[in-house]
Formats: sequence, C-alpha cells, structure tokens
Amino acid sequence: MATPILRVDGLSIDYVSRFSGFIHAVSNVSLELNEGEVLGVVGESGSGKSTLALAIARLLDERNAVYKQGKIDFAGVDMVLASEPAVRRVRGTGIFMVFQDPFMSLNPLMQVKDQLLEAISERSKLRNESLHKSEALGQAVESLRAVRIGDTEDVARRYPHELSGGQNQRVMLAMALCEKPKLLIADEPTTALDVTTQAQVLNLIKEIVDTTNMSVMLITHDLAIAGSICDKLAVMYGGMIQEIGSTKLILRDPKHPYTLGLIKSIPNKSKRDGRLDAISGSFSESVLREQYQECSFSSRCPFVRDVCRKSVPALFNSDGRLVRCFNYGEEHEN
Amino acid sequence: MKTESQPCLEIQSVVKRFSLGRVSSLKLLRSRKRFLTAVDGVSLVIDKGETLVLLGESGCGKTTLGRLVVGLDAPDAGNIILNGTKVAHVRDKGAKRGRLQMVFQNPGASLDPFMKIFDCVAEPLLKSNLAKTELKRRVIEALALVGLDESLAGRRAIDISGGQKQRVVIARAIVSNPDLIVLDEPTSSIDVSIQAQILNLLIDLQQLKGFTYLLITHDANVARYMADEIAIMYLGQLVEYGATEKILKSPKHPYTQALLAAVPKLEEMKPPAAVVGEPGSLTNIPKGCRYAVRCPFVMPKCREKDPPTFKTDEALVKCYLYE
Amino acid sequence: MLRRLGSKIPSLLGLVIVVAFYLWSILEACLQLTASLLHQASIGWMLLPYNPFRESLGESLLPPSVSHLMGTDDLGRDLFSRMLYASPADAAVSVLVVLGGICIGGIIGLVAGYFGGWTEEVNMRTTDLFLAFPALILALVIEATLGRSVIYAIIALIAVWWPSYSRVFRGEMLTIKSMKFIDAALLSGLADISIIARHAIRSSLNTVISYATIDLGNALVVYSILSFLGLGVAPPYPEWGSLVALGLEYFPYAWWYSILPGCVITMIVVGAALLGDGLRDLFAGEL
Repeated sequence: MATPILRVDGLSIDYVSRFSGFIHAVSNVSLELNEGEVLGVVGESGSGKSTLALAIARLLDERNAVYKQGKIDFAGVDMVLASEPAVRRVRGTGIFMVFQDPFMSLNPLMQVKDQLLEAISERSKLRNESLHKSEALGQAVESLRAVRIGDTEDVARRYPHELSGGQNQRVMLAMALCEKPKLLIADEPTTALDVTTQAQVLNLIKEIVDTTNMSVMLITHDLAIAGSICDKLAVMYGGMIQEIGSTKLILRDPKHPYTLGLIKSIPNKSKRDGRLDAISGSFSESVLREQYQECSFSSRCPFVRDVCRKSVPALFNSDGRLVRCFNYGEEHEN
Repeated sequence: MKTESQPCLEIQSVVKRFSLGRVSSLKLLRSRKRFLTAVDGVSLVIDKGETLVLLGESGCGKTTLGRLVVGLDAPDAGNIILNGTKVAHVRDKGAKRGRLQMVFQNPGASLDPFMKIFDCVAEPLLKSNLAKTELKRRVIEALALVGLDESLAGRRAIDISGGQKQRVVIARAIVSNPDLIVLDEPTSSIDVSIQAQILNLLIDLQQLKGFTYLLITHDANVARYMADEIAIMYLGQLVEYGATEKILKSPKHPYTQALLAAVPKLEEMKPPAAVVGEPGSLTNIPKGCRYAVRCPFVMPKCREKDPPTFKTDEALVKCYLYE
Repeated sequence: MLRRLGSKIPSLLGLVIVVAFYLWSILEACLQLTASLLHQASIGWMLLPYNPFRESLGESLLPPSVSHLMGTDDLGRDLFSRMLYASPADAAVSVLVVLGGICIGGIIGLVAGYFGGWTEEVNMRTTDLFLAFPALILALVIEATLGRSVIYAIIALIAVWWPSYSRVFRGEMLTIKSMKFIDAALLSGLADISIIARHAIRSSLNTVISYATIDLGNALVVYSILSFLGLGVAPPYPEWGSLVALGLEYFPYAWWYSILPGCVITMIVVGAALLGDGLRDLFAGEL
C-alpha cells in the first residue's frame, strides 16, 4: 500500500471568542487519505467539518483559531508547524480548495482564461516546467472542455459574474485540472447548485479522480452525495469523528446511532408509509464547550446509557470500521 | 385528481412577466425583449386538506407562482381562485386577510430579528380585532402546536436557534387558521436531522387541523414524502402534473426523468446520471419546446411548436411523445 | 449594556464627557429659565465660580490660574464661567439639529426606500442637490437670508443636515425590504404605514443611534463655526464659537482666550465620536 498523501493525527482545534470563551470545534480527529482516494466528511452544522477542511489547508483565521494538538502531514509537509512560505507552496498545486460559493473563490475582475493561465503558470513554475504562452492557453481551453463547458472560447473570455453558479463551479474544477493538485478539498461544492448541475459536477469530480489519480476530500451534509462518489466516509458530530471506514460498509450497515439517524431522516418514502424516524432534539453548541465530559450525541441518542453521559467513548473497531460508541466497546477517550 | 373532494385552490392559466429594467447588455436591446415570462400559462387544482408539491430547479418559476397564489404579486393573465373567490393583491383594501399564509425559506430573514416571538406570531391576528386575552390564547396555542414552550414567547428572534425559528415561522403561518398555506422551500436551510422533525410536524398539523399545503421545493425526496400530487415546472411551464406515486414510479416527461435520475440515492453508491448541456435561461427562450435542446428523445416537431398538454392515464404531460 | 460600554476605556471616556456635558447643560438651562421667569438674573449663575457678565477691567486678560481656571477676557470676565454659562445653547443646538435631521431625513428616507419608484427618485435627486453644496456655505446662506438668531441658525442647520439621514434611512429600508418579514407582514394584512412603523424604524434605529451620537459632535462644531462667524447669539451673551472669534484679536499674547474654548469644543466632539464608536461596536456585538 502506498504511503498516504494526507495524514491527520489527533487534531484538535479551538476557537477563542471574546464573549463565549473556548469552543472545541475539532477534537482528536485522525484520518488518512491515499492517492486517488475520495474521502467524504459528512456532518451537519457544528460538526467541525469545515473547520477541519480549512485547518488542513491552513486557512483558518489565526487570530481566533488555535491548533491545540495533533499533526497534519501532507506529502511530507507538517501543515501545523510549517512556515508561511512553505505552506504557500503547498496551496494550489499541493492542496486545492473549492468552496460552496464559487463567486467568492474566483476573481471578479479577471477573465476566466486569465485566471486559468495564472493557475497554469503557478504550477509550471513550481514544477520547473517550461511552458510557452500558446501552449498554456491551449491547456486552459482544454481544461474547460474537460469540465464539459460548452462554448469554450466564449466562456474563456467572460468574467465570473457573467456565468451561472454551475459554470463557475466547473471553472473552479477546470482550475484544479490546470494546477494538477495532489489533494482537492471541496467544501459543500454542490450545495448551491441545482440537482441536475450537481449530478454533472459529481460525475466530473469522479472522472478527474479516475484520470489523474488526484485525491479528494469532499465535505458535505448530505450522506447520499458522499455515498455517490466517496471510497471512504468519516461521519462527524460535535467536533469528533463518530464513524469512519469504507463507504460500502458504513452505508450498508451503519453502526453509530447518529449515522443511523441521518440515514433514517432522509425522506425517501411516502407519508402514507409512516412518520419519519427523526433524530430527537437539536444540536446545542454547549457540547463544544465541555470537552470529553460526555458523548456529544448522548442528549439525542435513542440508545443512550448511563456511561454515555459520564465520559466520551474511544473509537472501537467493529466489522471493519471504527465507531465511537459505548455500544461497541468500553474504552474511554483520553 | 379526486372529484369528490372540494377544490381549495384553482390556478387558471396564470401568466406573470417581469420587466428587465435597465438593460445592461446590448444583446438584449437588439432582441427587443424587455421582459421575461417567469410563469407562462400554469393551471393547477389543489383539493382541501391535500398537499400539492411544486417541484423544479432554480429559474423554473415556482417561487414566483407561490407569491402569486398568496397575493404578494398579481398575475398578468389568468386567475387564482381560493374557495370560489379571486385572490386579491395584499395591498388591496377590500381583500380578506389571514386566509392565505406563507412559510418562507430562510427563517432567519423572515422574522424581524429584534421582535419578540410573541409579537411575531401574533402579527397575522392584529387585524382581526380580537380581545387581548383571546389573542394571547391563540398565540400560545400555536406555539404549543409547533412544539415550542410558552417561555420562548418573550425572547427575541435573534436569540433562538435556526430550528426553533423555523417552528416560529410555522406557528405564525397557522395562527390565523388559513385556508391555504404556501411553503417555499421550508426545509432547505436547516440541517437534515431537523428537516425530518419539521416534515413530521407539518404532517401532524395537517392531520390535526386539515390545512391545505402548496409546498415548493427542489428536493425530490421531500416531494416524495409530502406530496399527494406533484407538479413539475421547467422554465415557467408545467411539464408534468399528477398523483405522486404514479409520477415518481414512472415519470413520463423527459425532464422529470432526468430530474429524478439526477438525485443521488444512498443505496446506489455511484454518481447519479447526468444530463448534458446547460440549464435553460428565461432570457433565451427557444422556439418550440423549451426542453428540446437537452432532450434525448427530441423530434423535429419539438423545435417547431411548443407542445400542448396531453392527458395520459396517470398524469398530464406536456410532451409530443404522448400525443 | 452600560457595563459593556464601560468596559472599554475610550467609550467610557466618551460616555463620561458627553453625559457630563449634557447633564450640566440641562441643569444650567433650568437655572437660566428660572432666572428669567423670576426676573432674578443671578439665579442663572448661582453655580458658577463668577458672574459671567461681571466686568473687571483691573483683571483683564489674566492667564489661567487657580482662581480663574481658563483665565479672563479683555473685559476681565472669567472665561470658565462664560463657557459654563454658554453650554446650554450649544447643547440644545446640537441635539435639536440632529433630532431634526433624523425626523425629517428619517421620514423622507424610509418612505423613499419603501415605496421606491418615482418617490425614491425625487427624494434621491433632492438629496443630491443638497449634498452638492458644502454644508457650511448653505447654512450661511440660509441664515443670512433669515436673519441672525439662534433659532434661524438651528433651522438653517437642520435644512442642511437632513439629507445624510435620509440616505442612511433609505439604505436601511432597502436592506430590510429584501427581508422576508416585510412580505410576512403584508400577508398578515398590515398596511404599509404600520409596517414601516413596526419593523423598519426599529431596525434602522440601531444603525442610526451610533451615527447620530457622532453627529452630535459635528453639529456642535458647525454651530460653533456659525457663531464664530457672528451668526449665533448676539453679545453680551457668551457663546463658545464667538469666544474663539473674540479671542483672535488677542492671539497669541492672550492665547488662552481663543485656544481654551476651542479645546473644550474639541474635547466634546472627540467624546461624542468615542461614544458613537463604542455604541456601534456594542450593537454589532449584540447582533
């Protein structure tokens, strides 16, 4: 097995707020991603998934986010301790990020082709490739074609605000093709898109992975989206990984009560077939204030036991994946 | 479509246009199109106590149609009839108030952030000259029906959570016992786990009070769960309309088929089927059928003339394949 | 809320300065009113170290000292007492001008923003027209036409002041209009006026309050300039701006005559600015 391209070890991140004190946004997260693999990080608001993504690319606001503990190893670079210049070299051709709102990631004052050319020149400089301007332009247009943008010549000369959300998101993917990153982190890339456009983007990502062996970390709140293209899944709640393992295993046989609850919440039956098995209660930010006091899901869990309210379960091995639940083991976290 | 039940809402060939205002692109000026047609001749019927879901993607006109039904905008042609009387614009002085209510998409934006929850929920009753005690009773009752405790009534909207806000918005919609409630993407901006609770709540309320719902969504799963009947919209037109199970089990219109196929399904664990081409735009309506450019079954006549609506056993379909 | 304001030194300082200024002005105004009602002028300077009108040529142009905190003017009158005696006028003008601006600008801006269309166009062009002229020149022209008096000065200043508030309120209105709670209110059958009153005013007030607080300082300065130019209260009544003007003749020899009143004006303006900033942070935090 090749060495993993990304390795996160026991990562804990705190947000410091003037009015609300410490918020343990991410607690003791460990995961591995190999070349060509797609990992889905699934969670709702407050799960810490976006914080995790930003932390890996070291894009957190250092004024109020603290890397409390743990390591992030990306292709040999320690993303927590590395210097700013070293991190900047990683971003773009090492780690490329795509966000939910494509209008925010693209430069509104530059034409699409110029932004792609910029990406290409970044990559060629870093990898010491010599590239002619016409060759670079050819690559830019080719990348637009690869992401199925019609009228390629026309679109290349446009500005981002002249294109639709779906087109912009595909331009971002085209930029990813130009930069040829080792890891693509996509944070809710299809949430703002229509269903039909989303299907196109998901297929595109899978295609890019298959042809270039790029690794992808897909952050989403939708288990079905994650299940459609991810090889591995990590389900997060309250800043901690609750279940992690191969997609097929987890979706066919979910073990963690939260994963079970999420699956049952998806309304894929008629109301005549009965009520939805909703997860009771709602997420309260207070579980992020007290670390390691109790299982963060205990207040909403249908299978809760006494021990769940007294300490946090460790990750137990169960049927080929890891589950953080006292119903599958007895060890306490930390 | 049942004939025994009473029709609650009738939408008859409704058309709504918007002027494009200050024309910024030379192209538009040359084409002499100064307006776009957001809703182009839509007809529907909703029976009392039932739920009709308007399913479609962005730009299909479903939100515009929702606003027309509720009276926030007036149609340029056609009629909207609620229980036998035409729906008047909200600013019309003679209009009957409180019979139509709307649950908006983003609960954060549809509640005045600094207003107390009690005042938010009481707003629809302000014009009904109720005694103070009766008003209070109805507000507390509405809050209880949506699962919120009386103690929340004194807090301000910015101090409560997103899920609670959505419940408050629903409480505000039901407090005046409306004849019809239009829900515009009521669960799109909340977590999946809360969405299930809200959907359950909506069903409970409907069974308890007999409300009639017009639910607007882009989510086929929500449609599957909530709808008695589904109407699918594309670029301002109704392309398929009929009973839920029939349409979902065997969709007839090529767009419906593509739309349903594009939804990622948990059990499948593979990327959903994707349609080729860009979604259509209302500023660039082609001649003939609007879906022809993306349709895998396109025929020459599709590009010539806009197909009429054909009646099949299971649904009304706007497609030449069913002539 | 006060506690949060007080937690930061600058805003605390601002709060103290502004509150002290207005509280003193209210007190002094009451005394002066009583004095005129009872025809007993000395009530007006009961609390002051000296009678602000008492001339004492032997004590003219004395530098600041323990007995005369700000020195004396050319007629031997204690400057500190004259400043204190004059403060109600400046306080009243600043408050009236800002309130007038809010009321007029508020109504016009809210209506324009709510109804849009040509009401908005007309309002915006009028505002542009007013804003195109330098405020001071316009105020001078208006007052010169009307005549010299504090009332006319206030009117002139309000006429110049309301356009910026109209802009602020219109901007707030546009933001609020896009919020769906306006649609919800319409659905509940509320008339437009009730909607504006119920929702728009409260939401706009948060922005406006901090802006208006800072503006108190601006109004004070502009009025001081008007009175410096001789368009305020007539002598022998003291007035901050005119004190600065009178003192120019003796500058730089008797520097305290011009400079110290100017410092006091500056201090109040800065205090208002600090307080306004603090209020803005406070509301931002709350939101």
